[in-house]
Amino acid sequence: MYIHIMNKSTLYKGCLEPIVMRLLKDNGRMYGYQITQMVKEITKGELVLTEGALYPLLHRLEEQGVVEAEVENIGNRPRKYYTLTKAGKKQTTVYVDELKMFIQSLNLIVNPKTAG
Amino acid sequence: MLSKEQVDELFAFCEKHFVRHYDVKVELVDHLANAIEEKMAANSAISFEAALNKVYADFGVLGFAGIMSSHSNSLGIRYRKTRNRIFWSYFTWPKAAIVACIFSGFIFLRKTLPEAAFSYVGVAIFLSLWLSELSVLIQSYYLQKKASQKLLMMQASAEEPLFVGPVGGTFLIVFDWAESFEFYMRANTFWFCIITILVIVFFVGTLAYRKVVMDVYRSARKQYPEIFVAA
Repeated sequence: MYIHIMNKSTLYKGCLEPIVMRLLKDNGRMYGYQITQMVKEITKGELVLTEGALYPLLHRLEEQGVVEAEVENIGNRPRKYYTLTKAGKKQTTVYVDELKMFIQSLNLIVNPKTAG
Repeated sequence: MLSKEQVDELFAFCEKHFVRHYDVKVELVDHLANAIEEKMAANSAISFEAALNKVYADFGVLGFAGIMSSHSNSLGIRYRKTRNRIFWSYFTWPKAAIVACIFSGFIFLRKTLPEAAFSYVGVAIFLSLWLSELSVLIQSYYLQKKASQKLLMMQASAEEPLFVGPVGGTFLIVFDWAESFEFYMRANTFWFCIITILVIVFFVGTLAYRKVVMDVYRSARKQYPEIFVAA
């Protein structure tokens, strides 16, 4: 009998976009490393957003017009900050609502006793 | 905070790992620097080089390649969408009115001018199209040269120019240049309109391409002034 052990990262994979957008909405502008650290801190290490996942996601959001980037010199090096665009802020609200509904539906499956 | 020499070392590290574009390097260097600073703050015994190796290992087997590839794809899609949006704006109100006037102007000139006189107009039209595309290509090349380092955003904005090649090239292959031109001049109204529309489409395509290239250049100058040579 084959038993599939689900990887935690598979569970989080579809949620990365709303997670990052929600962080940007709550914190104004952020840079890449700051986003990875904040995700790790808020989830107490449960979710580790790797560089290989974060930067392609940010570039894709930029391509979609959801975030915009600006470069600022912080002393010894330039730094790229990301902020949500107007469209991005609207999209974040939609995504977060969808995520809440998803969590509710999932809860019904995981905890059937609480259903009805 | 890392010293300037250490930050320069990080830029050289990115270059050594096949990241040639400054805009990509900026993001990666800041990420590496932050991670190294954190590691060195947590463990004062760790050296800069050891911290860098640990941080780079977190990028996985592919290193920076995945990030480079995704950034390049994203920029390509973004600029293509922008070019398409600008292109189609010329065929929707209100710019469509200007395009319609230009088209009507060609038809009017053809009907009112004697053939010999209109032939000069025809030559001017084709020459203008060819020269406009050439000038945009040359301009795009020189704008990229103004930066002391390559920028992925400028390279991506200059890709996929819309050339008269497909139309002009077809005529040149099927007919020779003189015959092609005579075909245009003596074509019946239907074919004349079709060819004129195609010429307008390529002009508009060139305008859209140029607009994207110029906008990206201005954005690049604003974001990365340190790498642009003073005029």
